Amino acid sequence: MPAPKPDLLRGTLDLLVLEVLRAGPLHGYAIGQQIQRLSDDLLRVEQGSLYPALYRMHRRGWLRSRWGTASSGRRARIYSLTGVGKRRLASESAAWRDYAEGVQRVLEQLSEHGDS
Amino acid sequence: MIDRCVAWWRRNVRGRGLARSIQEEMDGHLEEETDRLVAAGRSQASAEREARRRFGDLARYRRAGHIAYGIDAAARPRQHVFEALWRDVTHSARSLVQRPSWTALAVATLALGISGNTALFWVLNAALLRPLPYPDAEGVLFLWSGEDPANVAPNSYPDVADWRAQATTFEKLAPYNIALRSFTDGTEPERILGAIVDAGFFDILGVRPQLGRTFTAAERLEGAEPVIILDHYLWQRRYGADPDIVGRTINDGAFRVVGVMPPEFDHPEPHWDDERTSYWLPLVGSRFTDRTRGFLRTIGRLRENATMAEAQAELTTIASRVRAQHPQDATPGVWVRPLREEFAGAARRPLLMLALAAGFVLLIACANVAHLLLTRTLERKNEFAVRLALGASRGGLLRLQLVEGLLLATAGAIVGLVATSPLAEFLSALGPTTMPGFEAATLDRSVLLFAALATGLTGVVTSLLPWASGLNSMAPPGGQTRSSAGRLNRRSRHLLIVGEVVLAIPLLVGAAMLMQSLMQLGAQDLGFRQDGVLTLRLTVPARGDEARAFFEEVVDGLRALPQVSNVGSVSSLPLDGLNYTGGTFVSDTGNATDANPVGAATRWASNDYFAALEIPLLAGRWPEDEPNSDGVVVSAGFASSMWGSTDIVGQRLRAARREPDDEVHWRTVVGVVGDVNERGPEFEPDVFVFLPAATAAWDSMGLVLRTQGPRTQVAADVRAAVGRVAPQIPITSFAWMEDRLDGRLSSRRFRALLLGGFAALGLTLAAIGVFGVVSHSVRSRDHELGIRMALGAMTRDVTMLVIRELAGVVGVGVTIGLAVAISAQRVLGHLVAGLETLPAGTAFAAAAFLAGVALVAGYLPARRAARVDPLIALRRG
Repeated sequence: MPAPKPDLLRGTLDLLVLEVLRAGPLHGYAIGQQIQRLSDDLLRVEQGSLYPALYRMHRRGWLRSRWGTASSGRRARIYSLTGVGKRRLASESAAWRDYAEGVQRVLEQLSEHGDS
Repeated sequence: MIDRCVAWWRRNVRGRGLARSIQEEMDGHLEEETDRLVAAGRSQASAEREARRRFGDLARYRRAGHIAYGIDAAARPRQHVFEALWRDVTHSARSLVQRPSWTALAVATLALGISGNTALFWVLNAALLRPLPYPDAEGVLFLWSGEDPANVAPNSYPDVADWRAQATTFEKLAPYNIALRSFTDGTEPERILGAIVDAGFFDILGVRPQLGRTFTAAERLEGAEPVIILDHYLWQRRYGADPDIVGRTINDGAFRVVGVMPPEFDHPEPHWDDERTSYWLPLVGSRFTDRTRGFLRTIGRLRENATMAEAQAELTTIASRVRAQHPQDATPGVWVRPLREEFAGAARRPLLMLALAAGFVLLIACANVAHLLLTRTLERKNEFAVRLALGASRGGLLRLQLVEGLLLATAGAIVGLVATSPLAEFLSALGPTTMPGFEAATLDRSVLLFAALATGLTGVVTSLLPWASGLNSMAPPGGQTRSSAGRLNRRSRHLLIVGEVVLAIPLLVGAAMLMQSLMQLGAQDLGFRQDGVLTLRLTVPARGDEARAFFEEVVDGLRALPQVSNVGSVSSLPLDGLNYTGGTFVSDTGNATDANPVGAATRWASNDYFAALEIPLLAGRWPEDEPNSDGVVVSAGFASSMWGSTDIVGQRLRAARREPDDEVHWRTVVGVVGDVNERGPEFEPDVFVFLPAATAAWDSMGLVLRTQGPRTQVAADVRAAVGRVAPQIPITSFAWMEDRLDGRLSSRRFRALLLGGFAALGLTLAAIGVFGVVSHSVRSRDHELGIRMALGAMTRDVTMLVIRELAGVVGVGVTIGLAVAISAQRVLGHLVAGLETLPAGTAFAAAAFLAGVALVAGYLPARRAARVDPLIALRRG
């Protein structure tokens, strides 16, 4: 069993969900699986935490949902991006990239110093 | 208002839908993960565990989901319905068990109501609702003759023959008559009731014989060999269920058996008095040519698509046509009635009346238990308020109330059903055999279904009443002021009081009316003595002089017995109801003519008959009892209608002529006797012409014996004395006159007793209920009364306030109750003879009693409240 990974920062999960849904509509379970797969199991969250995030975004109008059939044949609630969601994804991912870049730089400089 | 509706809709309806979909989504997630893990090689149980672990705290995420959507806490996803119900059931059961005396009171009250209703339905079901034992029985009608439908009589054969020839709305019409025959083969001679039936009788009822066939046309001709069809039970009882009986002759060669009817077949009027119709003989139509002699009952089957109304209209037309051809003789009208009505017979309406009474009792019981629940609900106000605050929905509380009411009703039903079975047995033991259905009553599915329905309804009514009045005024703490809630409760209590009074009064009035009519009937003078009088009937296989000699021998033998002081013989026994003979008379001085004669019942009676029954001779003398005597005695009623006076000794009378050249035989009236009510107290006395017994040549005569000594001894000696003269002759109608009269009244007495029982039960329940409601409602006003005292009211003012209010409430109840009783009496008066007067005394006594109960129940707590130190009362409130 892999060691538990740190919780994702709040807001990050939203971004990941939006990103996964950019490829097309998916139901909750598949969204979770996809996030895990794309992150090569590096990002590990309690699966349940995905849902409050989905509902929050749904209520804000970033996502729309309908009841349909999942790939497993089950009845499932299938989410997709709304126009608002798409714009949100664009701005959030830009902000995230800036933020991640910044963090990356700080870390690189620190390690250079630390090695000397 | 609309805003509030929308908000409510969001919170409840939409919220509940979302909550449900959240639950479903998360469940789906867990299942999918579980499936994946199972596919990876885990066991189902461990996969489920792991899936839940990976998901994390389900409840937390669900709650977080609700918050994300802003769903009201109350609209949590519904638990599995049965789970929630079960929780309510166990909760209610626990809380009921915690208050054993309260629960016992409620259960006992409901048990009384439910068992009374179920027992009655039991009987009702058997008597009225049981399907008739014929296919398509709805198409079978009875036809009666008469001027108006309320007063009908049997039909004459020529009338029926005309209807049969002309009616197109009927497929078939078949008249029949009762028959009495002696069966002397086998060990014990018996006189058995049967029927003589015309062509089509069995086709109309749609029943085929179990063995053999029905009658052929040839068997209905004069001079044909006598044939018989046996009832299944007679075949079993008397002929050992002999499978080869068809084709044999029975009863010493009197009949050849052509068929046996199946066990489920009943004659259309299955019982006459308490005897079963046990065989059928072919009716020989050519024998009955007299249009004035109506003695047949007629059944008919409607053609397909024809309605009863059409049949009635057509028959009315036909009857008036026939009447135009035979103005004197034909019936003035024909009236059709459904078979079912005749089948249930006279028992139908009284039974419905009893059912109504039982329903009233159940309603009173419901009102009592509703009050118990209301009180309890108010006591639990805080508990409910807390529950509401903790997120319980109003629907949930209502469900809890319903579950509690249903639990109580079910417990009541179980206790009640346990009591029902002995109760119904008691009823059938008590009930007269003439009340159809009692012997056939069995605990079947429909009875259980009825009990279940009654229970369910009771549960819903008892729990909804307090809900409607008490709970909907309840809000989470702080939401409602005390006084308005109090007013609501008071109003619902007042409604309960009014309801109980309204229900109890007609119940009592009805019972009193039946008792009153019963007492009137029982006290009625029938015009003849009953105590110590034994009756019996003998039928000999002979007529004329031979029969006369035989009866003389028997009478002499009986007279020799020391306990017998008088033996009279008569053609028809009083209160026996089987033989009706009558004729029409004219006199040379009276106002009757051949075209307009006076009708009278004719009896052949010995002079000792009058002595044995102490029928007084009002004028004149007794006739000579000899075969060629011309003297007759007539009843005072006959004398009045023929001559307008009873001073008519020496007048002559004769039978009315049908044809102008009919031979006439004048008889002289030698005496006038008192009026005799032969048919029983519920009838008007008939008018009679008594001919000397010796002029009769009947094969069958009734004997009346005045006796002294112990009944059983006398009865045994009488039987032995008859047996010495005629060992092979069956003795029928062997009964004490008092028992006969008793039997006449028994079904009435039974109904009065039953209704009296219901009334007593209803009054008791209502009194308990009114007392409880009133005292509780006054006690709950302690606080208010305390304030009044603190503001300077006197003790008297406070008690008067309470009494005045109560008087108003009870007054409303009494007024409505009396109005209901009076209108019920209007209806009942038509249904039951002797109910013409409203027992005003009983009505007012019942009203006064209930009012008294209410006033005492109100006065005591009001006075107590008034005496409490106002400060203490205020603080306590």
